[in-house]
Formats: sequence, C-alpha cells, structure tokens
Amino acid sequence: MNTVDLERLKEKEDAAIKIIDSWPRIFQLLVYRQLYAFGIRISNIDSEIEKELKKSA
Amino acid sequence: MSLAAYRLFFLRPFSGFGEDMSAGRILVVDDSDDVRSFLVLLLERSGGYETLEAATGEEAVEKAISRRPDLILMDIRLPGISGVDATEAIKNNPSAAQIRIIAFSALLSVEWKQRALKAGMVAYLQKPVTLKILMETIQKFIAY
Repeated sequence: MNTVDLERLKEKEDAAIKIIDSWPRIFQLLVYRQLYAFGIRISNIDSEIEKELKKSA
Repeated sequence: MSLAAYRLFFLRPFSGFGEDMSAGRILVVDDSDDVRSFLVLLLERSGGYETLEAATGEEAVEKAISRRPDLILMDIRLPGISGVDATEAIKNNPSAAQIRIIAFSALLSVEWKQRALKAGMVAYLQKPVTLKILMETIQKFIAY
C-alpha cells in the first residue's frame, strides 16, 4: 500500500493559499467558507478572514 | 466554490502515484452529495486513495460488508440509522469488524463523541479540520 506525501500536500496547500490571498477579499471569503462547509479548515489564512469565517460558521 | 475550481488548486494528482498504485480503499459516508463528492475528489486526487461512497448508514453497512474497504470516513448524523449505529452494525459483522472507522462530523456533543468511540470508531474528527490533520489521521489508521 502506498503512502501519502504529506509534505508535498502542504506545499500544494501553501501555494494555493498564496494564489487565493491575491484575490479580492470577497472571493477569498467565498472559497474559505465553502471549504469550511465541506469540513476543511485552511491553516495560516489571514486572521481577519478567519475571524469572519468563525462569525458566520 | 465549484469543485472544478477546487480541483485546479488542490487536486492535481501526485506524480509519485502510478495509475495502478493505490494508497488504500476508503468508504466515504455522508448524506450531502456535495460534501461526499468533495471528499472523494480530495482523497482520490490528493491522497491517491481508491474510494467508495454511501449516503446513508444502511448503505454504509452494506458496502462495508460487500466491498471491504480499508477504512471508513463516517458522518454521524445521517438519514435512517446514525453513523454510530452503522458502526455498531459493522463491528458486529465478523467479515467487516476489522475495518477502521473514523468519525468525521460537525457534531460538538461530548456524548456523541463518547458513543462513537464506544461503538468502535478509532478517532473522532470534528469538522472543520485542517487538511494535514485529516490526511494524517487517515494515513495513521489505514496503515495500522
């Protein structure tokens, strides 16, 4: 059985966050809120965005 | 966010996995089609896992017995029997009793958590979790 490369996954996650963080705030919120709804919390996102997500959760 | 957009960023397969190489087979149990589809994409494309799906507790029991996954990612609140009841049914079936079951639920209740672990679940992941915790927990128990 193969194993998952967690380091690589983290690198990809960080790269995606970097791209998303360059978007307008409303789109960032949409993306992160949808991920929340799917059960996934992205680590290391902007603290203001995180606050808004928690407020609306 | 559409699944297509998510796929663009997170879900490109790792080059380390050949097409016939699987990291294991996971049964994803959730009554929400969207959540299930998302988790299946995530596990297949980012984790290299083979997946099965079930939308109800009854379907989960049937697939656990007939398809014998290596691990089950189980929601707790389901239509019909709950994820905990489904776990008890799976654990009571000798051919499926060894399958590791992880609860993946937004339920905060300590009572549900205790019931889940007592029923035989190996871990309780409370939504939302980070990708790292989700994948680490799956990897830990699928290889156990």
